[in-house]
Amino acid sequence: MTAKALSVFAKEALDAARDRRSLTSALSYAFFGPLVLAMALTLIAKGSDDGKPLELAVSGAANAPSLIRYLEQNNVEVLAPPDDVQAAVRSGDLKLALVIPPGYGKDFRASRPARIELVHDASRIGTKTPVRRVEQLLDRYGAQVAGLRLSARGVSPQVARPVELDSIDLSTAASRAALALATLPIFLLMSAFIGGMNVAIDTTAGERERGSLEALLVHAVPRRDLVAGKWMAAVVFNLLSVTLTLLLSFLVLRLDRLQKMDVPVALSVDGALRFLLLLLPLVLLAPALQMLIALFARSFKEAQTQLSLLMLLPMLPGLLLSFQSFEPKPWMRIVPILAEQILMRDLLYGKAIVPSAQMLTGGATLALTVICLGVTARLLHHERIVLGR
Amino acid sequence: MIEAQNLQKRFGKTVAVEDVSFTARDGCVTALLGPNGAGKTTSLRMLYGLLQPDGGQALVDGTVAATEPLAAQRRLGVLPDAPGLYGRLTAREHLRYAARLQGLSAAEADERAAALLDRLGMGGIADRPSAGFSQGERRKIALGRALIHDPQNVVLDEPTNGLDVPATRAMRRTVRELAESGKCVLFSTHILQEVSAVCDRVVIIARGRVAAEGTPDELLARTGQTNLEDAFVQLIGTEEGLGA
Repeated sequence: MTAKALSVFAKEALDAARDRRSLTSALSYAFFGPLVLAMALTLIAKGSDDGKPLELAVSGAANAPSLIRYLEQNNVEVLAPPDDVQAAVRSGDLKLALVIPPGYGKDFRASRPARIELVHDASRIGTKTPVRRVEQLLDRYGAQVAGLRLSARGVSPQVARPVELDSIDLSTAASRAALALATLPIFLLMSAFIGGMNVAIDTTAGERERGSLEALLVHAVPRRDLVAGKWMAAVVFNLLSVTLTLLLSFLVLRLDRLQKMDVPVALSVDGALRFLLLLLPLVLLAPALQMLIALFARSFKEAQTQLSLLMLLPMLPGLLLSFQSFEPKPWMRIVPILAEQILMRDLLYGKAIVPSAQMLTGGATLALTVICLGVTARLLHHERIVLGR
Repeated sequence: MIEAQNLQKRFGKTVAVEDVSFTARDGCVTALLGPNGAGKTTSLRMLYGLLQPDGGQALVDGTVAATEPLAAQRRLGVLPDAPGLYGRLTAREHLRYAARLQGLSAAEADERAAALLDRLGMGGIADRPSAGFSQGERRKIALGRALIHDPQNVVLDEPTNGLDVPATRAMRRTVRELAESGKCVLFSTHILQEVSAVCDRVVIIARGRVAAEGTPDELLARTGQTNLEDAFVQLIGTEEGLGA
């Protein structure tokens, strides 16, 4: 690295650090991904009822002692009801409540359908799971009692059960959390593209738009030194953004609440460093690509619009990768950006990463970076590019 | 010394410079005088290596600007058409950056920047960000940047354009001082007054060609006119695009 390139770097870094727009775009996004992740995981943790007793307020429990006993045997904690059950549910103080009317016992003994009310508000988030659990319990209780009644009358209970449905939901809070975590590579990828974007545009399209490019090019500086210095400044901002995103994600996953959930893909210090190493080639590539494209734009704004749209492109395979269990084809390993996403997914799910695969991916990305920088330096010799015509 | 030899430049089908030749000598202020759109800026841009000529060549102290741009630029200080400052950088930072780009060491850069700030009377605003500067102050920084590596040749594109009277006078004084210290100064202008005020030699450009070259007195003698304005109008054949 030449002294002139370092001078360009020092100037651009200083200039960008004083630019609130560059700083906020580099840093604010870093908070976005981890924040969304934290919110999603917290919601999952709250909704988690794995093995926990279900709290159920029961009004008129004394009317149905055997039903209450059945519920208590099935991991339901029966609570005393508030004075006005419907009002409590409507206001959200209670998620759901069971009301057993005084006539229940009489009907039950006479083998007439005995009415029970399950009061809930379906428009409230988080009521679906407990309501379903209570409904299933009551169904099973009903089936059990029906069976006993039929046996007492000399009929086999099997006759009354033409179909038996046994729904087995294997999803646990941990597996749902893993689904939410699959978005982490996308957030990391985006932070690698957003962190240095403003600097990349400002030092190219912005420099020309403000009329300072000509004044810069009259100095005895090789174009490659100019490009290298500007690129390094954008890389520093990029690295800052990615590191911050990783650090915050790491901290989010350390939250006590999530630790208790036993999320299988908890990010260790070692894992976080692996992610950083994996992302490093992209941190270098993104500004090189952005500077090259920005040089073709007529203004800062135009460059910003084009680059923001372009950023969505690499996100698409990322979304597919996170939702589908598809096996990557060998050629995908050398497609920069896509290859990194495949590796990040492997890392996330604890698959061993073959060092040679990572070298191949990193090498392909670095090669593209060098090409972009070389083309950008050449473009600065072109009159049309320099004068913006 | 700066030499233009049959410079030609086209942009698409438009011919910006058809045939421009002149010499700017050391210890002299040479003016490139011509109406707006005559090809002055394009000619200068070929001199400082921003544009490649389609024909002919530009030499800076004997170095061909098109083939050895870095060597030519080292011997050249340039004040381009637009000052092109960075709003978040101070005057001193601009000068230091320019010095480093021209290859000076950090210590030399500090020293040169301080000396130039003093010489151009910018001591009071040296450490303020340039965003709030007046036109004259901006032009001073740009000039300081052009002189930072103490180049033998100085090219100024319309240096007094948009300046008020005191700033214009200060700029002209600096230009004179440079020539008196033995530098080769070439500047473009469309203002006749400027020519008589500071120039030793005039190169008149119109429609991409050199219409006449010589000292102001020679031009008067050649046209038989008594004032430069009439001589100029006669030489280029029109009054269009001139500033008094």
